[in-house]
Amino acid sequence: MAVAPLLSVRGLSVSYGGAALVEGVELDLMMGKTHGLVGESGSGKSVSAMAIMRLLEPKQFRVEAQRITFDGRELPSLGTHEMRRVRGAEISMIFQEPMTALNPVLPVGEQIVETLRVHQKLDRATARKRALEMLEWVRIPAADRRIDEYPHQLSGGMRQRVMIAIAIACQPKLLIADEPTTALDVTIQAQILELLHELQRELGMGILLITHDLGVVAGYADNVSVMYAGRIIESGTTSQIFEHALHPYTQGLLRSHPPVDRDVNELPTIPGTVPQPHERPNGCRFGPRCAHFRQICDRTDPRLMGFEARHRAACIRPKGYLFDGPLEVSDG
Amino acid sequence: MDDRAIPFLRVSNLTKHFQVGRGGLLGRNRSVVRAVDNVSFSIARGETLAVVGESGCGKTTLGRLVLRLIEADSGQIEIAGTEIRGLDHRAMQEFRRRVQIVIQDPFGSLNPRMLIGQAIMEPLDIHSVGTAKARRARLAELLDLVGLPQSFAARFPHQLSGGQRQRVGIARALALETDLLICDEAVSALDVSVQAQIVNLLQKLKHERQLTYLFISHDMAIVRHIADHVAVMYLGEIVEIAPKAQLFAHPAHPYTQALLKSVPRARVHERPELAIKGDIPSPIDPPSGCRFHTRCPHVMGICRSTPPARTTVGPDHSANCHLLAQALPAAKGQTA
Repeated sequence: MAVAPLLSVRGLSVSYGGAALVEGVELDLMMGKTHGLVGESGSGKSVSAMAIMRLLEPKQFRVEAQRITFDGRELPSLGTHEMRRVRGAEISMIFQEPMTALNPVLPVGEQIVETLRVHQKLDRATARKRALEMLEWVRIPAADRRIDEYPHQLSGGMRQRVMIAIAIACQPKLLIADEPTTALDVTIQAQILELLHELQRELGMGILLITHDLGVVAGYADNVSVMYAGRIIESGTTSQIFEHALHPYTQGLLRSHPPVDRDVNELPTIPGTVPQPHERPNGCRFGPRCAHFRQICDRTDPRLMGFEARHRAACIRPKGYLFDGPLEVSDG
Repeated sequence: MDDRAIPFLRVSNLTKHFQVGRGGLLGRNRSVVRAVDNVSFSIARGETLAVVGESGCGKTTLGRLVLRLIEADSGQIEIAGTEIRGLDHRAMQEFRRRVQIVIQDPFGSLNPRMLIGQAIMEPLDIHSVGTAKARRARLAELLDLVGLPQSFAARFPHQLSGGQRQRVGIARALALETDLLICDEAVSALDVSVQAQIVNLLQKLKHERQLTYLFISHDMAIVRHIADHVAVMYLGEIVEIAPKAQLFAHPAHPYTQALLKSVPRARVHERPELAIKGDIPSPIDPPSGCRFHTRCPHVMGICRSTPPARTTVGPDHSANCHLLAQALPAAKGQTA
């Protein structure tokens, strides 16, 4: 391929006190594209993002990676000072709960000014003028009044807009959005997702969209990786994942949430619960919950295998499909 | 019309306002949160009424009012034909055997130092039901009913996953002769694979035990799956109420229409429609006239000044919107 990915991760593993939280994560994110990282709680999606950003405390977390290449540089080999410059200026992050990420005793405008002064060395007056533009850019009504308000005076949706304004103040190349709309009401969620989409088009930034919500991913992501118990178990284009899911876990996830525009009789479920890091089974991690479990699944720990162009899954079944395809694929 | 029985729960003109703020020396700066305003609905036995709405719409307060965990300012709450707002403490205690609640965070509602078995039996102890032996038998039955292994009785809440804790919450709510179960965002904190399990469990229990549900939720997809009737709340008021199929096929109120359009569809590259602009106003001093007028795409002059009356738009289907009152012949527009 001619164009190198903006972010390329291989063999990323994180452990905490001997427990492996994340194992062998790999992903490629292209400039201007959105990559959805999907999984249930404890699947390791946020930990992966924190590890990429080098935000995990090295005394507690052990992070290993074959490579984490961002815009041509190896992030793990950057000095502390250099890494700090990359965070904020080139990679930004937004989180689920803006209230905990914003400083409660500082007016929101000041918090943008702070970012601009640190990362772009602007003087106070210019930074304030720019901060006001940022608030208008994220469509905050009456921005000239809101700029001097404190986070508690704003609604959840407005606070998330302020977070986005801070995150894009330095026009980053990559935005990591960790459950950006999970705490928001559905009408507000639609507004924030649309805002991110527009800003992406204007700035050309790559977005790593971390979420548990498949509906959000389907609408906004170009590519999707599904995580389960610390590993990526399937990845592909959004169409491949949503229309031709290969892994039984992905298939189960897609069916478990009822559609809003059609009736279903009984909700298909995935039996059991997600295993904790210390109780992960030896063979396939999803084996004990899998409807297609076979003897061999107890003994093999499948890794991501290519199935179709860009579509990969960590399951012995897709290969089986190819092998005895006519038997298992309906109306093939 | 559906009049096969007396409703099991009938709520009429229920209102609860909270005073907020210091009020200053003469109390002139007092603000009022109109948490629940003149709300009326009924649920037949064995049916599920879902109450949907966004933050601050009053749906949680409504659930607590029905349980009398908070006292209403005015209105009636009838359960199986008895007006419960007038009941004294002792009589109310009896009623509480029949009305229980399951809340969103099962970890917060379970005592971390109490064994699961004790937690499930606690209602039986409080209401002095049966002998010790009978209670143990009942515990075994309840664990079975909600699909938990018997060994869980000897575990502590922190040893359970979120879904398992929610099963404990449900077992506990069903320990007595529960008829009406109020589920307040009961599946919202759960991962989707576990959420489906709990939704199916609630469905199964409803059919097996003829339970009546007041199902409070913000998730339109779950509501479509679980409800028989749906009430949509906005800033303290019910703006639309209808049988489930009607509401999803022919939403009459612009807010209901917007809510439905905002839900992501889980279809590739299909982005939810930006149905309404602006923020949800504060429930403190809500907008005048129709409370939705600040966000409504069809706002008219009258909407800013006059609250719309409840208009019947179909069998058991009504909505509060001036557009509907205009569109229908005057005779059909009636207040309920």
